[in-house]
Amino acid sequence: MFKVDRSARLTGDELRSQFWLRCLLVPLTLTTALIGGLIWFLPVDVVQDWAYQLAPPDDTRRLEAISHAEFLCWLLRVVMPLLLLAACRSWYDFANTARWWSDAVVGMLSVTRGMADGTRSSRWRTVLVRVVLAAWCGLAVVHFADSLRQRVRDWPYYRFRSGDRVLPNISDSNVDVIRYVQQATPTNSRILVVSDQKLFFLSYYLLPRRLYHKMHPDSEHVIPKENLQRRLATYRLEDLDAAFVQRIAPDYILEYFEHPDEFDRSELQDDPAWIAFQRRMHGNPSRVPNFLVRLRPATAGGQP
Amino acid sequence: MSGLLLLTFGLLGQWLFGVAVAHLVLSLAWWRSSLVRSVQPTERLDYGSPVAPPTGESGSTEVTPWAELAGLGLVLGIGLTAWGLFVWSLCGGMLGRGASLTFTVIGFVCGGPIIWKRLRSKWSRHSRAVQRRSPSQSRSANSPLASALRGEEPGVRGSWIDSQGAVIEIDARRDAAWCRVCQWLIGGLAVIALAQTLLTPHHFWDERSIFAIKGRVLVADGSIRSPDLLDPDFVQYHPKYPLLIPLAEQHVYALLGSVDDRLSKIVFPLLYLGLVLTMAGVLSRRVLPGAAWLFALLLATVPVLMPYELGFLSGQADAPMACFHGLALLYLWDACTWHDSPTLTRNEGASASAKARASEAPRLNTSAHQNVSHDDSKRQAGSSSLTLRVGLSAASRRVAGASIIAGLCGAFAAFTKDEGIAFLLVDVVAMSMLILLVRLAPKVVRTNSAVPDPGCSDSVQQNGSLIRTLAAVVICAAIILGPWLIHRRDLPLTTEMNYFGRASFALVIERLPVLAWEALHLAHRMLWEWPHWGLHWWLMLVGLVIAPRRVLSASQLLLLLDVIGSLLALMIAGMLAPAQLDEHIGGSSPRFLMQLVPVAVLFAAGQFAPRREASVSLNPDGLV
Repeated sequence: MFKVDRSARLTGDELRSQFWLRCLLVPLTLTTALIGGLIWFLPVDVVQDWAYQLAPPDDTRRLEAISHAEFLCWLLRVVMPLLLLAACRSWYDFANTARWWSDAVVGMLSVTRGMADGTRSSRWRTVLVRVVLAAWCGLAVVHFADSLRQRVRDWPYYRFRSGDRVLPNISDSNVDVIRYVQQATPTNSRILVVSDQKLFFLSYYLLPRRLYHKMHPDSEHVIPKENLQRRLATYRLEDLDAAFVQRIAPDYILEYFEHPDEFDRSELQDDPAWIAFQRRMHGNPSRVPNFLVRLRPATAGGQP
Repeated sequence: MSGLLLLTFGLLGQWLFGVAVAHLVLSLAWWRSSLVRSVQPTERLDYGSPVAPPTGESGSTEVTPWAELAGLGLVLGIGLTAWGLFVWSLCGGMLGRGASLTFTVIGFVCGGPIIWKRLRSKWSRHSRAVQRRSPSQSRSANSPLASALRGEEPGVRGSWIDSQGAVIEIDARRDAAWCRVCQWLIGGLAVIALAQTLLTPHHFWDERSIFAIKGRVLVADGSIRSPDLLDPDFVQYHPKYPLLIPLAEQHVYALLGSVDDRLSKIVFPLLYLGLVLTMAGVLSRRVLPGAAWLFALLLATVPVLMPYELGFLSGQADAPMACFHGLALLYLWDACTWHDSPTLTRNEGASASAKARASEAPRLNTSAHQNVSHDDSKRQAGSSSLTLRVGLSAASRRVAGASIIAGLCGAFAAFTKDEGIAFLLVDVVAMSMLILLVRLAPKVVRTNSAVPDPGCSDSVQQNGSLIRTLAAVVICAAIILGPWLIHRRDLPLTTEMNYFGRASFALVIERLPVLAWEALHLAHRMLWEWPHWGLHWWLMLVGLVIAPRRVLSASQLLLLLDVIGSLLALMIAGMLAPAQLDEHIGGSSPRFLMQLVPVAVLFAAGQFAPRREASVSLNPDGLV
């Protein structure tokens, strides 16, 4: 079945390399064949059910577990056959593969010896270089494993969706405002915003709507912190001069403040469409958000 | 589906466009070699050089390794397409599918024949090799695996100069096998990078608020002179930031026919692959190929580049900066590295023992110059002197080509992010300091002229070569950056740090105390936090300890000066910035240091890797 070159007598080195290759290939072939066969034989639903049973009794965790199982299932369905193919290819051309690996290992040792001077008196240099390289490889493997774990974690949320659908890595309040403005304004509208927030993500996800905001000089180079720990200086609508508003010529004016010192709580329900949207979105008929959003069409002069 | 097909077609055209430019610049030797041959058609060129094997049909004496051509093609393709679209739009053209398809077609027309020629040459070599083999050889010898081993005949040993200056011998076949392992691993890493990149949409701060937002406005408005990009109150971060990344993403959207911020990230793993392949290709021209591919693999596995979330897996501009700045330094290093006169080492080295060759290397170099200086008077020497002349002038053209590529890549770095301007300045200052050092201390800084000039001393020749390199870099960068800098003047200053505008002697003096904090912070990031970012700074230090004498070569000194200059630039930026120091420098230092990773790895390669000595031929695959 397997091709073995018996025409030449094998040297000790070749026998040794063939032994080690066999030691590698036997478990690799068996594992990949077994796992690959099993994972293709089992429907994904079964694996997901199994993950669901094992997950902690929490809806979010369970949903995540189902998605993780799906991702891992498909990952194994792709990777295992590839590894099996590589193993079969090695068995098919066993003698040459063994020689190739043996050459590669000797080549690598020669390179590292050459990198550090192979003379006996300075063997420590070779050892030092190899230790650094081994640490480098170990570190790379750890980081790659970590990145794979991160992709598994991301999968339930990102899948193959574009950023516009996922709105990733932004605050829940930002998500709410983006969704609200998207459904309340026409696609090409110009929106003047007054806000105590950095509005870059809103601007990005609301495109092709255009957002304009006069940034306060004191908050220009300030990095916001989580949970409103840092208050950003901001202009209010009344601080903007008419010429500025006229230059922008907005179709809508949006007031969006999160810091409690920036608004009066009595203003929270000023925009009935926003409140209705919040209640509909969160399925809570009595919900009142704790930040101010007021979206109004602008008049021809740009004033609300 | 048609959008995806068009995108694939467009990216292939973009790569071919880059390949065409890379080939044009790096093969400047082609017409000059033809000229020499047409002048003296009876003379036979000596192709025994490790740098310049024949290509058969093309008639070129210099062959760029496949890895270098492919890698540089990727990087230049992305950079030049973005720059071309920028200039097109600056001249009043509309951005969109029409413009992107035009660039694609230009790429196919220019690059297609070059790749076809290279492939045909490779296939004909392969078929000749198969025909030469006797029919009694087993079937296994015809397998692809066995073909991989056929880079050299078994037992062929090449001589290399190791890090301590001694001559060592390495089995070429085994080195080729090790190269192939590295190539497979790099290929696997590229696939992993591509898969991981496409598994996430844009989801970090800078990638959305600075770059992707501009890309989407360009798609919507079809012009770099979009009124919104010029408006100080349009919500975007850093309106003055350059447009290479936004234009590259716009190119993807235009080909795709819609906006999908997951697919536009395909640009970044391509740059990753381009960086690694170019590093392997250039290094394999200079050092032992096994070491070249090993260092390319090391570069590919530095965690902060990949798979760190803000590296090549994201749409941030820091990893592309690392790519462009790294390649600029790689080609400057290439231009400064001693061009072994291959013919000389072959002819003279054959008669000397390996040890003697190593110890006499400087003297042989001098004799090369003497030979050249008397070239005209020694016509009776016939083919040998002609060969020497051709070999050395090919080296000078290599220097010119490398300098042009360095200028292009340096300019693309400045067209990617504003740090690129600082890097370009640091590069120019480092080169100027090197020229000064060569002038003032020629016996300390080991230099070798690649472009010998009859009647001149070594240091004067080297200085002339370095000055020409510097001039080429500055001119190329000025040509590329000129249109951008003109356009940049019209862009608003909102949220910009405006370092140059804020710079004043009084401010620097006032903020001197922060230097101590910055120095400690950087040392901590570079050396103590290696589990997070990688071991490259440690490798650089180990290289300094193991082979301190190599640092005194012009090429290595340039890298060291550049790294020191870049770190100083960051510290000065920290002093000038209007932001809170620990947040500004503390938050951005990992990304800034990421941009220096290729330089650190290249420096280590220059310190450790056995250098080319003699008698090992490089084939166009970049393998021995």
